[in-house]
Amino acid sequence: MTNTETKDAEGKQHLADPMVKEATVKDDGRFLFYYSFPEKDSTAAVSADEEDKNV
Amino acid sequence: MSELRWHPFLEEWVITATHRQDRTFFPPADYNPLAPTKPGGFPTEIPAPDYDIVVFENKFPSLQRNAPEPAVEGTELTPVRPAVGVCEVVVYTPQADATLAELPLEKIEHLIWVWTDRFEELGSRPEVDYVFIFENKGREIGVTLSHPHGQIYAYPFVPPKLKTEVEAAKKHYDKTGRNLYLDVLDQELTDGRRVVLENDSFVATVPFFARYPYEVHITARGVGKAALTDFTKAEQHDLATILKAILSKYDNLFGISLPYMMVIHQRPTNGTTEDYPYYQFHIEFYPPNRTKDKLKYLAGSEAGAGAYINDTLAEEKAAELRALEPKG
Repeated sequence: MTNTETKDAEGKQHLADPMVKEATVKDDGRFLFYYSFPEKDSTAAVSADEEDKNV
Repeated sequence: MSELRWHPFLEEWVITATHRQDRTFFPPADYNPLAPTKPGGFPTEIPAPDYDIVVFENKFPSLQRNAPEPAVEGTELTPVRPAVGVCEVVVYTPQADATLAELPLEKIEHLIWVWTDRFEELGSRPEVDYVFIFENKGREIGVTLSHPHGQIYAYPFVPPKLKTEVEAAKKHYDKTGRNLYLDVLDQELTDGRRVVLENDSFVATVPFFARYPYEVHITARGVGKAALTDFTKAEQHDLATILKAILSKYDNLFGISLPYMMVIHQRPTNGTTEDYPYYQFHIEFYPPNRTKDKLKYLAGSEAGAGAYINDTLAEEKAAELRALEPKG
């Protein structure tokens, strides 16, 4: 997996699908990263496939 | 106080970190620093009320991004330098009483993604030469927090054991044009007696030269696999599968949650995998148990001479592990 990352409006990094990384800084200056793993949106995948067919 | 002091006899750096004497030692459950912070509750290291996987910089680091200047003066024979680097804690789950072996396969796969991201990010720092990912599990190993977690040390040098491995592999490559780890793996697969488990991407063995009774190495198959960043999604899944299987076998060995040291050996980060065609990604496990209630201690020969004595045969221990659930 490589860091093909994007940032959303909240500044969260979307790394290789489906991992999201949110970087924060603690009061004492130390970095803290929350990693989350949203469920894949199967509807979106179908839509993308549909879009491909339409191209 | 924290600095690197040169050991001229062994030609290696020793990290001095006196502030670590004050680190948290088995706090009561209500004051677990790796738990999520519940509303109105004790503020832990993790401010969120819930999380999947969290990584944060260690409160008691051996190596620091902004390391202080050494408190002592070095000499030509015994130089000192700032203990620059990063020490991170990786918290696997909010569940305080879980173990890595007990986590669902999908969660272990997510952890591998996180390790990969940390390897890539820390390894890209110019001052970092080696990213070392590991887990110490169990009081027997000296763990001070039982909440499931691992650690990452980003060193400003290639640590001695890894340096020896890389140099030995390069020597073999220069002589034969072949990867030492894959040649040894071929030998193990041909012999078969020390193989514990295998899948399409990885092989787990009790190596021929095991130094601990239940030492296991998980080695990546194929060329160009020297770091976590070299794996495809399918290979990451295979790694999670074999990791969980080995850890489950460990827990089935004596009917206890087996303590261990788990260390991930990858290429140095002062280059790319193309620069290290002779090195191979592998994970090593060192459980201290000889039996359910007897431990192997690193005593005079091991600590003083560096010569390990294993009271068991790798072939017999591999057969014992192979026979345990989950079957190979």
